[in-house]
Amino acid sequence: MFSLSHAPILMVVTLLTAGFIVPLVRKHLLVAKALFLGAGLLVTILSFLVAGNVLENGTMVYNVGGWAAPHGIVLVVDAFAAYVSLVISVISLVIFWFAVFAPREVKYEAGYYALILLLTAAMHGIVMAGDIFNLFVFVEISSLAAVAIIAVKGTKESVEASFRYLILSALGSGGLLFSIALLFMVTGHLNMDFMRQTLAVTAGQYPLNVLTALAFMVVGLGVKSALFPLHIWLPDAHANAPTASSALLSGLVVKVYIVAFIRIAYMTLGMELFYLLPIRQILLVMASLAIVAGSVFAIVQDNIKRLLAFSTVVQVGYIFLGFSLLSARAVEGAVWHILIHAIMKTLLFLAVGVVIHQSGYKKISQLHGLGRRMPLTFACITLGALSMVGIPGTAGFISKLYLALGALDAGQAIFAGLILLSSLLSAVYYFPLIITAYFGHDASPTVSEPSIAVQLPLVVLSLAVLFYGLMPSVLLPLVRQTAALIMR
Amino acid sequence: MLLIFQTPVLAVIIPLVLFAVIYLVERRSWRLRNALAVLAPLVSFLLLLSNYPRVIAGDFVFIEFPAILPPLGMSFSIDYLSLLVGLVVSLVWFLVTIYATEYMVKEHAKNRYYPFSTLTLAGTMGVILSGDLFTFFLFFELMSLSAYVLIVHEETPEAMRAGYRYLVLTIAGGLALFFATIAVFEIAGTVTFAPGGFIAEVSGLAILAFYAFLIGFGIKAGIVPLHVWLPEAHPVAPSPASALLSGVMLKTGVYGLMRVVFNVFGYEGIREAGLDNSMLVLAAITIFLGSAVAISQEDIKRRLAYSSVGQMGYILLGIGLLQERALIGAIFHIFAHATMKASLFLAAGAVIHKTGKRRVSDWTGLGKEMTVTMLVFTIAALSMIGIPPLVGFVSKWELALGSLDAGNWGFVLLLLLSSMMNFIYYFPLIQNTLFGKQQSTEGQARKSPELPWKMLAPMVVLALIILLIDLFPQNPALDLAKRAAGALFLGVH
Repeated sequence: MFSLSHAPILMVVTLLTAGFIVPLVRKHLLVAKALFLGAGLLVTILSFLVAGNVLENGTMVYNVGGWAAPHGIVLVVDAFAAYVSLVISVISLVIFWFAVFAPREVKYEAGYYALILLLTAAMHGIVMAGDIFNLFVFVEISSLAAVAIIAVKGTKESVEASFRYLILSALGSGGLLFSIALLFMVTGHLNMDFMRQTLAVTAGQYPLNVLTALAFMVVGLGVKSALFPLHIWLPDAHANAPTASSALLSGLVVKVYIVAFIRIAYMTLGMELFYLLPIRQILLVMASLAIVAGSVFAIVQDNIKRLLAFSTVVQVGYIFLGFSLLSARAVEGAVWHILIHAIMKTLLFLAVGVVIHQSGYKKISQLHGLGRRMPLTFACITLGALSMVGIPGTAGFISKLYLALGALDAGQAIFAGLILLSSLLSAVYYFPLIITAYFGHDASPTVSEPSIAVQLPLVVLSLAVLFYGLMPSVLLPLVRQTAALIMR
Repeated sequence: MLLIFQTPVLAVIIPLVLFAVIYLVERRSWRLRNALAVLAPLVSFLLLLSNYPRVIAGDFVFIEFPAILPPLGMSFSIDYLSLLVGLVVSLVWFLVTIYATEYMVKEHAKNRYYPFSTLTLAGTMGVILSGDLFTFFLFFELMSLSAYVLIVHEETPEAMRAGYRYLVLTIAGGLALFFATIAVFEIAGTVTFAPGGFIAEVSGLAILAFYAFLIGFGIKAGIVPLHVWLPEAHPVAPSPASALLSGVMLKTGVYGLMRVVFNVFGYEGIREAGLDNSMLVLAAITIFLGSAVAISQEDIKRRLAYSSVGQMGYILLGIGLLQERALIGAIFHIFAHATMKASLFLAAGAVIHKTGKRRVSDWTGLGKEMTVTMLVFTIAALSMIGIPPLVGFVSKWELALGSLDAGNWGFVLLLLLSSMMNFIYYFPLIQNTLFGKQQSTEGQARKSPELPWKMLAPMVVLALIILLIDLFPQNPALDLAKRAAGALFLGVH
């Protein structure tokens, strides 16, 4: 009988294996596509099962090859991992579907699918890794795959952007590796659970090591998750990638590195550190800067995809802000925002990709009247944009609510003010998109809606935006458990 | 019975559902579309009316949905105040929509106007029937955002500019409300409106929250200096939408402020913290500037829009004085101004619809051509000036008495001054239109009726309300206003 205890490793293995088989069957594109989608679907089902199991029975620990920690490799699926992996698998399944049915943007389709599969496998791996070196390995796989799915478009800009991303990302990896080495020096362990226990004893003896490790990690994972001012690679990379890649990168990849950061800094090094070092203040300042500066940059963009990319910088700031406010509701808000931003940003990138493909327009000022030519697509964009602004009734409002409440709980009313200010600024950059699309003179009548198969992901994501906006209680238990775990 | 089938919820849900229905059927049949759009406010009105005996008997309706949007939840309620305001809103909406079915015939994009008018109605009813601050805020956003579509309806560059200004200020106001709401939640752990308020001690955060409320509601109600969007946005909208914006939607701002002052903070808390002074200062500035600037406006709709600013100042004054009689005046003025300003905008819209004349100076001699319309305009304008026994007089009377109760002569003088200014900007206009000579008639003495009945009837009904309601042995609106003010002051439902 199929035992659920193997499900975590199966998720990673399924995606990795599919990633290797898909290029082999590239001659039979239909088979490759079926395999690609099938792997995504299987992993989604598994992640639902795992999440249900974790909610019911608590954390699952899987010893790879039967070797227990500290010597063997373990996968740890706690509420946090189950939640994020659920987000990754569902959102990526939607993106898989889009990649298969959307008009072709890349030359080697099978190769592209393989890269996406590797990237997704690595993301699941990062989230579930129980030992810090495995985490690093998965971070490396995901970084390289992420660079590749930008360059795969083959245009001059995309190659340039991906090269810049590669260099900065490699610097980030170096920082991360160095900090892992420093932590290993102090603890003698790579397993995060054992590391935490040892650190409680030895951290006092080697304060400089821990401090340096933390600094390198903030920079290393900060670069990868595009925390301002380490975000400089992001706008070009996300704006010049193929549609499905942009959605994947903006919606999921940056967040996985945040998850990795939380895992190491909060859950391994321990919260006590935050009261000893000014790390919390540094993160708060960086997050605030991300929110303000990202918004200002976004306001001046006319290119839609660049606008969305800068908005991602802002949203990363939201998530870091929530985590560093350190009140229960703020952390819940940040955890919510991981899901909600994934939904809405994926929705927006996919929908905008559709618009660009159907009309050839890349700028907001060119969109005049397109809303009447492509009613469904623009209805989806409108919902996504309203959600980004945080209008009640959409999912974006929920995370805004929790983050703002959390800021007040933490006694930091100024950050609640900051969140609201950023909400206003996002109205300033998102609403012109909607307004120009619906009002003003008519667009050329040749523009039309894409096929239903392409619209399906957009509709599904839009419904998700509405659903979580009105009925957030469905996922609340998992979010609560996750936040409690982080705040432990 | 399921909670969702209770009156206050239905009065909100039905327009919301009709919004979707209209959107689906409008391509097939414009008749059905118009009928449904008229039906929505009528249903809300009748539902509320059916609750009139129950509420008068002292039965307070409260329905809660804590599971929606935790941790704050949603709730709906009907008390005297929301009953009165809800009845006024849905009645005016009903009349204006009948008018719109004829007025909008000449306009484009009708398939956009009706659904969004209905959606805005749903938002407005939700605001009025909400039982807590959070629900209030949710519907406030719905109302504000869907009203944007009504404002930019013409899609001219001016309309888009005015609309954008409206949108940015509305979002800012919404965020101020949002902040204030969660701050109240943080302080008290609840946001449900309670008789006599529920904030025990007015702390620093509470004061911050109060000012955030004042900003949020001030933007919506057009309180100077937050009124900047109003004189731009109201004139550019199609006339029925202007009537709704000025007549109805402005009121949600002051209505919210009443809830905050009496049902969240409690008027004693406000008085102890000295927060009433800021309201009084703003009210005085608003009354004076609104009326003064209206005098200089040539465009009739802009003049009416500025006049609305001044009139909102009256209501703010009535709240800020924290006196029962002043509050009666303020609540009654919600009703009075809704009927007056709606009929003025409808009459002005009728003139623009028929003749295209927007400039006040062009209106000379119109009275001969459009007798009924100008009579409606005259009655409403006289009421604005405050001639007894029209409704505008009643509210001014109560407000003046309230000022005296508060021992403040200055505000009585201000009210008189404002009446004087109202006189200056309405009376010459009336005189010109009724008795002036039309310049170039070119023998337009047509025998055709001046307007279709669908446009005339709503205006006439509104004018009759203005004219007659105070002649009833017991003015039902004033009665409700008295009960509402009494309840708010005694701290009972």
